Amino acid sequence: MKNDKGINSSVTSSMMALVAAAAVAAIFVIAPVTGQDAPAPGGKGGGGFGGKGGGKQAVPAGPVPRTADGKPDMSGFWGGVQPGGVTSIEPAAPRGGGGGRGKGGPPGAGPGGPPGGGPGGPAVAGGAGPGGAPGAGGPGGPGGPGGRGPGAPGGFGGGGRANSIVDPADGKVPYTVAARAKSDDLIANGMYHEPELHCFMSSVPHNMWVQFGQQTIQTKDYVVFTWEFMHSRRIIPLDNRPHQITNPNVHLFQGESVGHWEGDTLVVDTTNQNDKTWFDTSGHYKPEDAHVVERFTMTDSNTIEYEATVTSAEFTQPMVVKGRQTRANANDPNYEQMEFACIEGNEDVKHYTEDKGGKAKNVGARTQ
Amino acid sequence: MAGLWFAPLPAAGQGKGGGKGGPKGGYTAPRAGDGKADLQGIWQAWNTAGYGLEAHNAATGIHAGKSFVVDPADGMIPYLPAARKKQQENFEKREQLDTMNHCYMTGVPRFTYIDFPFQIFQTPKYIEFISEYAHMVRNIYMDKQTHYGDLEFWNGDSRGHWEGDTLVVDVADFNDQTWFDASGDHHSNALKVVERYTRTGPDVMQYEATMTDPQTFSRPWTIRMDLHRDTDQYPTLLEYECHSYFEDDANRLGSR
Repeated sequence: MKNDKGINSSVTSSMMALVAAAAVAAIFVIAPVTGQDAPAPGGKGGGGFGGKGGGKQAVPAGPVPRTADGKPDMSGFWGGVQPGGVTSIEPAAPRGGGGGRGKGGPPGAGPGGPPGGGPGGPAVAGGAGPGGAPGAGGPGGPGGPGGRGPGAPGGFGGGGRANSIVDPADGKVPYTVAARAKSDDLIANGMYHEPELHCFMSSVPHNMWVQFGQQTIQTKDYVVFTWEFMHSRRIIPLDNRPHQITNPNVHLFQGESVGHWEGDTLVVDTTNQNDKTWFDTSGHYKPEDAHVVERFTMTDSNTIEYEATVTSAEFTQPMVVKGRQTRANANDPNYEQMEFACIEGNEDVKHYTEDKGGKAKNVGARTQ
Repeated sequence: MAGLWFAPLPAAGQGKGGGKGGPKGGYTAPRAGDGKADLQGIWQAWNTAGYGLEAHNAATGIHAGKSFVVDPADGMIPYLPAARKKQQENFEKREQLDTMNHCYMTGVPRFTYIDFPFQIFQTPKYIEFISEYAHMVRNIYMDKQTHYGDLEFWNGDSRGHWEGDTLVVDVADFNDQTWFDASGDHHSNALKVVERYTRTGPDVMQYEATMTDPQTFSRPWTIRMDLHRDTDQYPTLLEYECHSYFEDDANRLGSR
């Protein structure tokens, strides 16, 4: 996503405005309202979200493209797996920001911004709109008018999917009682710890549904995902290696992933994640022992069906998340993923004083 | 035919600096799927360039090192007088001013020779560099050569092409925030960098970068060094999520 200074102020609504304002002629902007902004005290508005893209005719789906060695070729740009989960992975968002989810207009039907980008006014209105009281949520944006993609269903904000957790059937994270209490406390009091506030990579599987889309690079031995958001990345080796990190006390933001093909399905096994990331931005934390098995099945040239099964001792049963990736920007040969600076301009953390759960009064303290 | 092509020996400053001479004639890089030289793997510079590109003494947080500047021949960065003064001020205030102490992106060419490895993934359309440090990513676009021109990026805008088996990357659209090393060596947003990556052996790649910035330097200048490949059976690039460890430090250091 283009940015006028190469510097932006992190996950703030002002950042969104900057980004929108800097949109280039090659990209049609659809009012990128956001529920993704920093959870400023006092609640936040926004909800739903749309990236750039949309407003153009979709490229018709064809057969699954193949690499030289006959595997499904997933290279290219993709929209996130589903519209939920960014603000809350559960059906009813406990905080503001969920309002737009599922209420978006028909995919790709939003009025594409004028070429060259508008001044981003809608982003300000949606992203920084008058938030409601904490817990009540803001008024919500108008919902994501289609993804950065060509408006095909299943991209950002357009699918109208009310839920992403398919097992348990109630669509809720199957936390144990103690784990649910921890999550509830984070939702009520823990927004300082919201991972994206700190510009952390979003972890597995949350990274599969961050905003601004995904670039997939596929070679014989690797599948690599890079996301414009936070310039986050995952490296998935396909060389049939065993896990290289076998000590359960080693923890990483993206864990360690190893992948293999089962027929046309890419299966990825991820272990050794840390406890600093969530399934969403509302406080549904991901247990440190989470073991994630993902299945990517390409069904046509524009569609990847996605499924992730998460197991944890802090769950009462395995959790299964389903979603769909939709090819984005296939009709824009000039589309490129751009640099998204985050920590370089992050002004959010310093605004969280100790009474808000932050450390802003701790100037001079050093934890190293 | 590419396999028969050998990179020319750069004449300027040959034999000086970090490189072990020019590309070794006779070595042919393995082929990628599209017939180009295959640069894939995890690479790291085992040298002191990240501490200082010029010959320098050890200091707090700085390992002593020789010069990696092969042109000009004196091994010094050809600063304009005011820019040299600024470098010296940067050095004195490096703890506060070095962007890496704030976990920011390093810029280019520093990306290549910090104390963290990076992995190269190669397709005909993109060549992707992923650093272990602060999940930095460089998209090297091979199919479109035009810079944006009106933008600034921490790691610049990278456009690549092949000259025989050498990957040549033209980098522009920088901001003026990043340094070349931990010694305060700096540039303006007019910086342009041309990088050359040439495999010179199974586990060695020669790296060369030429910097041009008329606002900061009196002439272009060039560094050269070797990068080394991780030869583990299962090379593994993990992550150094810098700011997760240093947020309190960021408070302590204050703003840049």
